[in-house]
Amino acid sequence: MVKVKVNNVEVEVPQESYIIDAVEKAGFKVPLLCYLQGLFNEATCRICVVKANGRVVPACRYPVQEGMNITTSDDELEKMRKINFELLLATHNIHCWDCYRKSTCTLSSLSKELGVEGIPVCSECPLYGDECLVNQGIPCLGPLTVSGCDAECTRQGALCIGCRGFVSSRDVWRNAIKFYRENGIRREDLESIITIFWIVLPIKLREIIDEVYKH
Amino acid sequence: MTSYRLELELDRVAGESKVNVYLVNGEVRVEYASQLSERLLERLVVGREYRYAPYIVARICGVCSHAHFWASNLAIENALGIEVDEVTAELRDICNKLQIIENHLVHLIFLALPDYCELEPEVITKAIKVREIVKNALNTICGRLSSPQPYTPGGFIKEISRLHIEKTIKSIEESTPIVDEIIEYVLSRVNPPSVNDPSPIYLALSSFPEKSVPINGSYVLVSNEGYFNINEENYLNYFNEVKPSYSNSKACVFNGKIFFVGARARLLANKYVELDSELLEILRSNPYSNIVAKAIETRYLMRDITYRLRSICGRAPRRNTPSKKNGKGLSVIEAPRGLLIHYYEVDENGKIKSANIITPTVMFAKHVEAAAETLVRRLNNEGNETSTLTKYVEMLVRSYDPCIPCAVHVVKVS
Repeated sequence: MVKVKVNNVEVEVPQESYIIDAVEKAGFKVPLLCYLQGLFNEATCRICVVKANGRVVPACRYPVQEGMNITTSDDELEKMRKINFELLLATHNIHCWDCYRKSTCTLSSLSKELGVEGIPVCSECPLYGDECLVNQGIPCLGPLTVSGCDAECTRQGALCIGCRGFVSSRDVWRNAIKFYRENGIRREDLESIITIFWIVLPIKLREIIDEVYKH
Repeated sequence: MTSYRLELELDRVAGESKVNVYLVNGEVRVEYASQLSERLLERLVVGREYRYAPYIVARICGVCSHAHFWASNLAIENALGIEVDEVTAELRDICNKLQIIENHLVHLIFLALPDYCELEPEVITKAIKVREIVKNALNTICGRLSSPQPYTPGGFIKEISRLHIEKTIKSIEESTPIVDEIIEYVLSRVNPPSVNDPSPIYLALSSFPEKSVPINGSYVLVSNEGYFNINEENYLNYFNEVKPSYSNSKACVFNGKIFFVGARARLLANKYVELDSELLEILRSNPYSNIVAKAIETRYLMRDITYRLRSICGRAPRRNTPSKKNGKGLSVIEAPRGLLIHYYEVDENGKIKSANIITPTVMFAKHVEAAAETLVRRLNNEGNETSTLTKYVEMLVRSYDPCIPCAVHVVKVS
């Protein structure tokens, strides 16, 4: 057994343990993405970074040492986690509107936890398949709007009018506009509802709309 | 004290407002000025499809957004000849009354009562608890308290389950005795200072506390000067809005006279609660007594809501469609602070051509000034200190419960 300190709380863990075990035993939490206890701890996502004796290491892969001083949260760590998550999200093909994971999606819950605004309202929306308002031909702004509101409007059956602002990723814009086009939503209807809260459309969004609706 | 100028920045009111008191050579003048910047909501809806208008205007203010949402749906329904079924109308009315209770509780306990006594912690706890219950009831029907969107012109989008309605009835019934205790506490502590109402003209919807329904296309308003039939063609003949230079919101007169709206007006106009002659006289002549009227109204509405919820429990609302493409429509409802008027004109493409909103705070703005002038004149003649004057003027304005965010909804740009 070795003694370590997690945020100044002393715990005793078996010698072959990893930092994550000590953190959990001490009653603290670190955000996790790729780690699955007993199955996968290859430290590929780097979301679980902590400071061990001042050095930044992945909690899921780094073994404990006697007298180790572990910090699970500070400004620097938060920033690192956020950047790592944003980089991961940039490579993810966001199609929340027809994704079966929806409310069980770890990326969605992590984006809320870390304050990264890259995932649309569809990730929280309870309407699947034929229930989806866009699939019914209603210009709901769920695919373009930043998540975090728990999709309160679509939960009531009303359409999303984008009061939280749009997601920053241009790939999401392109995918979403294509989705509207496929479901026969007219450009005028879409622009009419987009301009309720976003009085001035970003130039890039307008370009994407032009491009998708041209064909 | 021959001449002075006081600028009172008001706290404990919704939004930012200021009262300017001028005394020059014995002449008293009071200006009630809204300080929030203009919100151009009447222009924002123009050119958009009619079904999006309620979503936009509900964002006018978070304090009574359901009232605006309902009023705009109702006006559009009137414009397009959509008839709603009884259950829908009843459910919307219940939501409105829940919002009235929620607003009254917050105003009575947290905004107005600290003027009269020191609050006891138990009362605060009770008020927070009841507010939570009322909020949950509103969430059950509307989905959320602020900017709700559970229905569109025509009816509710989703059905509300019987189980949820039954749960709501139970929770409201359980909280009724607590509300009674709170109201008893308020009534025992509030002792309105005496000031004579300079313009005791009240105005309220004659159908309150029943639901707001137009009769032969007109809403009937009741005042101590008689009954008035208001519709989309003639409402501007009665309500005359002016824009004072010192304020960011408009002020309004009815038939050329300064009037007041709100809980006191509703109680005096419709007499739905039996009151003894002494209390009735206070309500008639004293603007401070709006707090008393609010307390009495809250007690009444708690029971009224339980009764109404029971009558619709198990019945599903229907959805109806428009019978015509264009038209003009007006709606008049009783919002928490008084009368609320919405007007819309829809063109043949289903787009809003013009819109007009007259809010309660705009309606009683001139009455606040007139009452404050009478008060300042009296206090000045009695030789009171400026600090006393400040205290009583602030108390007076607070008793009206002005709400600034929706009052500054539009200003004409010249």
